[in-house]
Amino acid sequence: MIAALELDAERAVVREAVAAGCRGGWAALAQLGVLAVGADGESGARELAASCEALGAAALAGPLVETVIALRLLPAAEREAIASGRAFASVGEPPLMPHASRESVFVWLAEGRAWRARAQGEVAPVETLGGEPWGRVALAKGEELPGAPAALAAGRLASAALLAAAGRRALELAAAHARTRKQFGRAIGEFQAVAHPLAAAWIRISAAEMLARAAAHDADAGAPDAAALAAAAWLSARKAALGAALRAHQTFGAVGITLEGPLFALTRRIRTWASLALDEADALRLVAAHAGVAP
Amino acid sequence: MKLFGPEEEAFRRDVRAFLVDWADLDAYLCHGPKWPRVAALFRALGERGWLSLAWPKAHGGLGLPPSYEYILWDEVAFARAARSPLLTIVARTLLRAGSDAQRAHWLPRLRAGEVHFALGYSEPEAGSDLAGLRTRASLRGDVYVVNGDKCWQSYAGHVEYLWLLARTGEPGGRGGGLSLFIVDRESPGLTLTPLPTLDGDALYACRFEGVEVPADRRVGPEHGAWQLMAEALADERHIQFPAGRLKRDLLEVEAFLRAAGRAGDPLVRRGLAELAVAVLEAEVLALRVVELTQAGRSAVAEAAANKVFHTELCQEIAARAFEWGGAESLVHGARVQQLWLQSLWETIGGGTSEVMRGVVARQALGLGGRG
Repeated sequence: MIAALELDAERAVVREAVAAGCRGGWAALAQLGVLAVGADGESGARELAASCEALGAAALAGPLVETVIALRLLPAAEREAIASGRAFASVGEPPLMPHASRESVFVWLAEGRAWRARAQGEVAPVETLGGEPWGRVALAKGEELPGAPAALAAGRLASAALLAAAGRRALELAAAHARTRKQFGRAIGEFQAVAHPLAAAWIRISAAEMLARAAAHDADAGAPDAAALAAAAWLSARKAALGAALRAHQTFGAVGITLEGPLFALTRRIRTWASLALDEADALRLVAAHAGVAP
Repeated sequence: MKLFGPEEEAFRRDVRAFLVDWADLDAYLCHGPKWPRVAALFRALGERGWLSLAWPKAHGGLGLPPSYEYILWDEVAFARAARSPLLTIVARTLLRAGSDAQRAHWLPRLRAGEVHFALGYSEPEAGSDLAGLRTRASLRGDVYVVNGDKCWQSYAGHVEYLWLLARTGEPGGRGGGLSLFIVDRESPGLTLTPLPTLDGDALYACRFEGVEVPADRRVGPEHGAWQLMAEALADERHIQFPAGRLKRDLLEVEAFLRAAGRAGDPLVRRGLAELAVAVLEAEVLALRVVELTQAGRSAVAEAAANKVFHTELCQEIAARAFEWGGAESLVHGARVQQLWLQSLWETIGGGTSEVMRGVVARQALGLGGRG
C-alpha cells in the first residue's frame, strides 16, 4: 500500500515557508507559489493539500481558495498579477463577491461553469464575519473560461485541507484547555461529558483530513475518481470543521466567546471557508455517482 | 480510491474472481444458520493460503504485507460472504507466544481453515470490564480445572474450540491474574445454551463445571493474557471493519428504495449522497489503520475511531432506509430490516462505542481519565 494518507513530510517542508509568508502578508504568501502548484496541469495536489493544511492550522485570512480556483481558470496573462499577490482573485456569484475591490480579478462561478467578469460601476465595501474586504458589485459576464470542473475540484480539495486542519487545530486547543482547566476539583477533560464529544469530533476531523489526502493522491495519480473524492472531502471537511468549532467553543466556555480569546480567530475562518459556494448540489451528485447510488 | 499498488490490485481481482462462486452465501450478516458453508468457505480460503497471507513464511504464511489481508476481507465483506474468522486472533497469539509444540500442532490446522474458535471472554458480570471476570482455572497436577460462567459468545455453538480467558490469579496481581486457554468445546462439564439474537443468529452462554483443560493448552505465560490480548488486537484491527460492508449496505438500501418507488425523491437522493460521503469517510479511516499497521506504527486511536465510525454508520444507513422506505421496511424479509437488526450488535460487540470513544479521548487527546 502506498503511504498516501501521510503528509507529515510535505507539511514540514511547507510549514516554515507558510509561516514566513503569513508574516510577510498576502503578497509574500502568494509569491511562495504554494497556491499555484498544479495550476499548469502538472501534478501537485499533495503539495497543495499540505500547504492548505499548514495555512488552515494558521487560520490565515485572504483569498486562498479563490486564488487556487482562479489560477486554474484564467489565461496565463492574467494569472501573473494574482500569483504575485498584486491583485486579489474574487470568485463567486454576484452581487456579493469575496475580496472585491476595483483591482480584483473577477471570476463568475455558477452551476459548474465559469466566466471572466468585469465590474459595472463601483464596488460597495462589505464587512464580513471573517474580517475580510468583500464587496457588492454588479458584474458583466465576459468570455467563458474552460476547465471549470477541474478548477472546482482543486478548490474543493484546498477548502477541505484548510477546513480539516483548522478544525484539528481548534480541537487541539480545546483539548489542551480541557487538560488544564479545573472545575469540581479536577480537569474538565476527565469528565466523559467533555471528553467524548471531543473524541467524536476528532474522529470526524480525521476522516475529513484523510479523505482530502486520498483525493490529493488520486488527483496526482490521474485516477478517474479524483473529482468525486475532492467533492466528498469538501463536504466531509465542512461538516467536520464546523462540528469541531462548535465543540471547541463549548469546551472553552466563557473564554471562547470573548473577541480576544484563543478561539475566534480560528472559528471565524472555519465559518468563512465553510460558506464558500463550491456548488454543493454538483458535489453531492459526483459522490452519489461514484458510490453507484445516483438516480 | 487508488491507494494500492498494481500487485495489490491484481490480488483484489483474484479475490473477486474467487468470490463469484460464493455470491449466494450471504452469511456476513448472520453466520449461524449457514455455518457448514461458511466453514467450507474458510477451508477454500485456507487452501489458497489466504488465511495466512501475512504470517511469516517460516510458519507457512505467504509473508505478505497487512494490506493484502485488508483487501481480502474488504472484498469478502462486500460480497457478503462472511466475516474474518476469530481463528486469526488465535493464530497471531500462537505465533507470538505459543510453544514450539503448540505452533506445530495448531498453526497448520488454523491456516487450512480446518478448526474454528469462539472467543470466551465476556461473562454475565464482566462485559466491557474484563478485568472483573470470575471464571477460574486452577492448576491441579497437569490439568487446569475450570469453573464459572461465560456469556454472549458468538459462534460458540458451531466451532470446535473456545479461546478462553480465565482467572489464574487475583485481580490486583501480575497481569491482572488472567490467562488464555484453548478448550475443546466437547469437554465434559462444558454446557452451552443458545441465546437467540435479533438478527436470526445466536449468542451462547457457556457454563464450566469442573472442566479439565490440559496444562499444555494454556497459551503464553500464566497471568500473561492481558498483554497477549492487546498485541493480538493490534495484529487484527486492520481487518475487522473494512469498508466493503458499508458499500454493500448503501447499494442494498438504494435498491430497496428504488423498488419502493422512493429513490427519485429529492430528499432521499440528497440523503443517499450524504451517506455515500460518510462511506468514503469510513473507508479512509479503515485505510489509515492499514497504513499505520503496515508502517509498524501504533494505530490504537485510529482503530478505535474506525470501529466507532464504521459501526455507527451501518446503523445510520439502516435507520435512514427505514425512515425513507416507510412501511415496506417493516415487512419481514425486507433486507433493510435485517440490516437494522444486525447493526444493533455492531456498536456493542468487540468494544462498545463508549469504550472506543474513551480510547480516542485518551490516546488522541489526552483526555478522559479512565473509561
